[in-house]
Amino acid sequence: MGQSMFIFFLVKGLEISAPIAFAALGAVFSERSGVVNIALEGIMIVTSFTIVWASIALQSVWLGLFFAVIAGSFIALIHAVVTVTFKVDQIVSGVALNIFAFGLARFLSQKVFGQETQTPTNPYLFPQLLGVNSVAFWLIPIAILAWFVLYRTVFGLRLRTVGENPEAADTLGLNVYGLRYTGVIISGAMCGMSAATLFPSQWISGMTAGRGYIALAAMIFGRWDPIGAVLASLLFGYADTFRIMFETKIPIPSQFVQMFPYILAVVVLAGMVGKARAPAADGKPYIKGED
Amino acid sequence: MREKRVVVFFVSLLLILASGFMLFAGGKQEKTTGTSAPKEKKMVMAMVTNQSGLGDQAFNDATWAGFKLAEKKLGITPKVMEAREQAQYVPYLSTLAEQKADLIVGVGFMIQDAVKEVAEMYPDLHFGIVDGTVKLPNVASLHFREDQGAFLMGAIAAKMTKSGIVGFVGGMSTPITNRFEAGYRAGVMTANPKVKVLVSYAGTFADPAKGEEMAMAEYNQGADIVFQVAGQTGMGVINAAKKVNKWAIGVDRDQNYLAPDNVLSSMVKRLDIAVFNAIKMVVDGKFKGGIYSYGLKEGGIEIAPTTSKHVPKEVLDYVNMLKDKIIAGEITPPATLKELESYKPPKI
Repeated sequence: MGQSMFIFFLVKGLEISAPIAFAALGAVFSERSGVVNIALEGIMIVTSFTIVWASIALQSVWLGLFFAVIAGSFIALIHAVVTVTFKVDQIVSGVALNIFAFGLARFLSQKVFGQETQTPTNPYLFPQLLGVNSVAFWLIPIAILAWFVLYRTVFGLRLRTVGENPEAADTLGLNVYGLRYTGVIISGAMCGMSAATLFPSQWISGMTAGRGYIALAAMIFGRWDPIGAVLASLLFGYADTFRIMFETKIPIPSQFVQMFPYILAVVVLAGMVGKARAPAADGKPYIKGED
Repeated sequence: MREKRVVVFFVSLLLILASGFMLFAGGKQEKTTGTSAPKEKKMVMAMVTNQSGLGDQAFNDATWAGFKLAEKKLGITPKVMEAREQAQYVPYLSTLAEQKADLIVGVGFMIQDAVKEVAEMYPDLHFGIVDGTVKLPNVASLHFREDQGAFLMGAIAAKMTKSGIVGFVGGMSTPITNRFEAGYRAGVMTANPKVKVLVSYAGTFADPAKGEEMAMAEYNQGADIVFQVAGQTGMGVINAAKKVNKWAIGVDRDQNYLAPDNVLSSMVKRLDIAVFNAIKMVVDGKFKGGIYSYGLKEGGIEIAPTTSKHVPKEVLDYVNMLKDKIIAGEITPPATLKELESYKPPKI
């Protein structure tokens, strides 16, 4: 492997990992506040559409990104209202939102562009850096920032408290619902970042191809920790990059090569599972004033 | 407890909304575009799309174009049902069969088994399958000789490459994408045996981000022309060509408009012609089941007209010469990867 090839591998891997890593980072905040968000996939579909739509309409991909973040936050807000305020089972709400988001994106595409399964191509793109989408590089500072916020700020401490022991947090006068809303909305906003690094050139129905669920797996495998989640996403991403780059050189059937990232994921997860521990109140609605 | 009720209400509302959107989005699910003609008993011909639905600017749209042409020329009533998932194929096909549609066409390799199942249940009705094979007397299987078209694309690529390396990105590895690959590699071999071919499969037809990465990897390994046979995954391949300013070769229709400076050529599949002919058989009362093969000779496979924009005349002449030889039967491109192994490029 030549040196240029090695650099290519490094930056490509970052670009391929970025959509998963951003979503996983967001999920950390949601789960640490005590709300399971399996709607990531659906939110990502909507933000992927929004970024294309807003970029074309406003002729700027930066405004596109802005509105993608808004759209992601909005869908996440629905999840927060349903699960935090109305205490619906978080999995049920997540599944419903995934279905809803899938239909919503197709509906909007039909209404806006007259095509249901794909939009026209978006000519407004992010600048390139070392041959890849420059937004992918934001992952590093954002991951560090996320770690800092979660472990070194008062807000982070409160968020974690709410996810571990909402009763105690409530007793201390913390706003449990407010903090959970914030956690969920952060996860939606981060899906906007995912859309920016996935494929902002065009929206195609089903283009997220399960990355939202992979992000969820990465977050669990990263033990509900921002740096862990990012590293796990990078593992998935680089495994995929490896198979993409070397498929042309490996003389075994392509189906086997394509399995590689997933086999790796299963092996690693199997080795890790005993050590992972979810926040104590993760997935449990908090009802004020009961015991 | 009051809150519980609110919750139930909210979730049901959300679900209703969701299904409403799905329905709305697929609002054209049973679109009949017949003019409200007073004429008695127009023939009704119907198609069931694959998951991409209408508006995919590929397969389904091309098939639908054949129906629209038949509406204009033969006065039939076209009808389309857009399947959203694999599980809808059989119900949709049998709904149309219950309505006694005069011809029911399923689009794509994936719908093949569903067509077989329904065609067996309704032996009196006529069926068609695009890109699949159903061996029943009431089913017309419309095949395309992708190997022939891909062969010519391979020849163009081999003549146009400056780096001596060309690429191929497939969607899933199916018999049809493999046929493309075999033809393409044979074409490269014939035009210039020194040119190396990089081959990779994305494993999906609907992930443009992955398509872009696969093409980028091939460009990075020195390829300067990449042929995509990957459906919507291929949109990413063309996007990659645009980003690094190298060549891509399109598939199914003339894709030059997607990146006018970077799409060298496209292998066009005339699904509309094949479907129109099938419809015409029914209209003329001469329907016969069996395999209908569309290649260069039958006009079912074409080189995109925009090819002359970027490809110099001497290369085009060479390719047209190959095309004539294929039509005359002097060259037989390999149609499977197995045939490719024993393929010997002819002396020209």
